Amino acid sequence: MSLTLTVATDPPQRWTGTELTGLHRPLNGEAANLTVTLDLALDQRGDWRDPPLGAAATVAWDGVEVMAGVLTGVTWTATTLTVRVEG
Amino acid sequence: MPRLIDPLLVRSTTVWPGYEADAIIPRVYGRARVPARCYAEHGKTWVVADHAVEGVDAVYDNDEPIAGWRHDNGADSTGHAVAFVRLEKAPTGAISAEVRGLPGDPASILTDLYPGPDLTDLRVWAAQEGLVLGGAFLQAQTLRAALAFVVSQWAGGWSAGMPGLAGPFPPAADAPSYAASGPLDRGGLQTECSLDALVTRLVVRFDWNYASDAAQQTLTLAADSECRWGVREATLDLPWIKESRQALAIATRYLQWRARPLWTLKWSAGVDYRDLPPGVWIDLTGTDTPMTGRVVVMDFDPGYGRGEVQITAQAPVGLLPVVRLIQTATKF
Repeated sequence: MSLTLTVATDPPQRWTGTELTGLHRPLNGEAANLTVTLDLALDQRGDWRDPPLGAAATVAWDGVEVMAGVLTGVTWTATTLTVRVEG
Repeated sequence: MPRLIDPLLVRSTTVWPGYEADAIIPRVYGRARVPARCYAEHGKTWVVADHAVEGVDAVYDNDEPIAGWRHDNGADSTGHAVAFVRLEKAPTGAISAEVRGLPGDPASILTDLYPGPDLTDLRVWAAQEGLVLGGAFLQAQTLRAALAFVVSQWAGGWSAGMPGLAGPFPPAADAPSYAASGPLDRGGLQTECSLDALVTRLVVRFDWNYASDAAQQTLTLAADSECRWGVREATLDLPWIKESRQALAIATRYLQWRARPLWTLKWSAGVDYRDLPPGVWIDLTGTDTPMTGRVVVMDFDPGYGRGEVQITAQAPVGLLPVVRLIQTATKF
């Protein structure tokens, strides 16, 4: 299993994820969004203190793109960093 | 290629150095009656569309048709193509116009909004149905909302994950089934059927006048299942449908799907179903479900990382209701 998040910052950054939730393909659906939990400990999250909200973001599973959208939110807890992508 | 979250490309009158009122400049598809935007302070130059148009058929001053006008496509002060209507004298009230804008066939509209997907199937189906839309965008919104609105004009189905992006709903009866699901293929099956989803009478409002923001025509249809469940009325708005024949066909299909019990089924399945798109038929067999036969995939969760997918499907049961037209009306 390989879950990656690529964010179109300058330079582009690629992050490894541990969990993907919220992805589904509804008929006549409302906004399509998903969340990716990144594999980052607290001391590894420096780049996310000023998150690149609005940057183009691509989520891939085993190299296959599952969503190309925009980074719309970040949730930061003591144990997890979760990123929301909307497409 | 644009993203569905991107905004629909509409402009406001505030892009001009002077404006009478802050409003979206209409983006017109097909034939539509739209409010014009005052372009010049003397009141004799108006803009009816934020792009060149095929033609202007009539101009109204406070809903009264007027003479002494001419139309031309040109560039506004920003260099952007617009459609002008020029009057011999300043009007007494609000100006609106019957405009023939960008192509109004469904595939051309969707391609204009969201280029990329192959819409051949939609184009063929719409041509066979004689389906032509006419309306205008007058609000800022996302591309997703705009696509959803356009598809709702024929009560169709659409999804970025659906083959051909958009089409009729339910899919054509002769469309092939995408997959099959038997009792051994699924787990955690939940099925639900609710009285709230039942509709036996439908009021259809269509042929919108965007200047007065009102439907010019309505139809009322009733299903024969009224005798069993009584009158359960709903409203269906089809602002971009201009002809009663088209409104009747769309509303009949809509009511036939909803005028009998509608089962919604949810189950989990193996990852070999991971390529299943929404909006397609699948064949359901087995005695663990209240119904068997063809169902439409309404939602699909590919379940990355969970080793299973979640499928939501829907289908009505019972005989196909007979739908009859019981009332037509025109706004005076």
